[in-house]
Amino acid sequence: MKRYSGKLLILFSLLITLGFYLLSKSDLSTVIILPWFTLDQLSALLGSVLFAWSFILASRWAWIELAFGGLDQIYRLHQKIGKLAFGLLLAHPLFLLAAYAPMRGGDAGLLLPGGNLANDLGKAGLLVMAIIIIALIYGKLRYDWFVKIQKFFGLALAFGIFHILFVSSDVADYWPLGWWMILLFACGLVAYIYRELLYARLSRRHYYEVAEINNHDNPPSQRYGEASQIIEFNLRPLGKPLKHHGGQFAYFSFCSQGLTEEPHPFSLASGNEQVLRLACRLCGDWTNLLPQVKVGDKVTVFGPHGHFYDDWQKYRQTIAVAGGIGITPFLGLLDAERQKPRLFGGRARTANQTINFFYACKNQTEAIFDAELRALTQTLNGLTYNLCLSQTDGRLTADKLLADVDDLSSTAVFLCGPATMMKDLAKQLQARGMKKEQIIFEDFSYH
Amino acid sequence: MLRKIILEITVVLLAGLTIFLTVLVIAKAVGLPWPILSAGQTDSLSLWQAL
Repeated sequence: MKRYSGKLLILFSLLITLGFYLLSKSDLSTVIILPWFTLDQLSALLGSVLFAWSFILASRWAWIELAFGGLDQIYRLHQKIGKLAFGLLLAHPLFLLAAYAPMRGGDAGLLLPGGNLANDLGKAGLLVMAIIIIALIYGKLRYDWFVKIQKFFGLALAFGIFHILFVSSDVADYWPLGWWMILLFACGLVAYIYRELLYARLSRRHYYEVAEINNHDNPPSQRYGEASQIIEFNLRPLGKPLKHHGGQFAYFSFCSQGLTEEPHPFSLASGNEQVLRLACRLCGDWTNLLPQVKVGDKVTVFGPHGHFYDDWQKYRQTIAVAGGIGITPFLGLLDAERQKPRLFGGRARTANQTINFFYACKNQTEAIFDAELRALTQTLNGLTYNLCLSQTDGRLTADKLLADVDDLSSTAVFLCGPATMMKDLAKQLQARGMKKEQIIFEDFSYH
Repeated sequence: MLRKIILEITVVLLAGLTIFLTVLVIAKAVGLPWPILSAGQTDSLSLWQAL
């Protein structure tokens, strides 16, 4: 129920819209007789439903995570739904043009402003969406601008609401459909207001300060190599600490000179609630500024988010695959298990439950948590550790992962690392007969 | 727990509404009389003819 209930909500909302649409017709045969009108109206309605859902998915409400899984999965779905909504809404005026073509010829005047206000606002909403999407895809924006520009989707939503409620059409005259669309738009609007205006004020937040920075005094490249500059932070709570499960992540807003304060997501690499440990790879315009953070700087933490831990300890054989910095949620999971064996819903790993851990890196220099993981095998029962260096051992394959598996049905594979690695391994594992629900992802590249 | 219950109730309600509307659409398609089915004041055909 949990994994599918969110997608069912979206599916039902689309079907209900389709149902109301068909009922709005006094003669159902017109749906077939006038196909361009039908496509025009359906693309507008279904595109609007998905557009409202894209706001709901971006809200970071806790129940959304419950319905759709972890926030990383939600943001991937949010992107897909948003693109589909934009495609449908863009098709709406084109279908309208095709519907009117027999009367108006190739006159594209319908697409130009100057009609009534409701129509003009619909076009303006579409234009705002197009500009934002082009800027997001091709703009090569800094992260803070990437976040800021998305706020303008709210303008497109407001224009869209006005358009669909006041435009003259047969579907607009049918009150059940009208009220259904108002309900969906209201949910989208509330989600937008919460996310943009209230989240920073109302969401659970915790105050920390930077207690320790590993490798801050030396350039990270000297210790870890150019290809994987990583800085570790240990944060000490200044008030009530963040309660979290191992493997979760949170949003961190650093109050440090030289850094913008918008929150950024990082996995929690510790299971200890008193000290939060982060391991941050310097790979973007903002993370490259992290060496400027100093001990004593204040950090606001929002969250926690993510459900990577849900099925940890559930299967008899767990195979964990970490690629590069994808190690961080696993560090959190293992640390949590080391400190509190009965962490997950009171369950504890039984004697016959095993973890086969694969840490995939290019070379030994990049395997910066190698020693820590080797030490964990001494304290955690059932943990087997394998370091896989692609430069000498080749890439990880499903054959290597499943080499010691005796029963595929009682095995789960947890993946966290570069998207191409996860996709490739998941494909191979499925080809070997593993079910989708046995392959669990943590996609930290969603933002 | 409460969130999970509310979520599951919402899914069931939407599923129920989907089934109800499907029945209404089928009833309308086969020509059964039902007050709610005649709620549409105008349709695409009349709009088309008006143009």
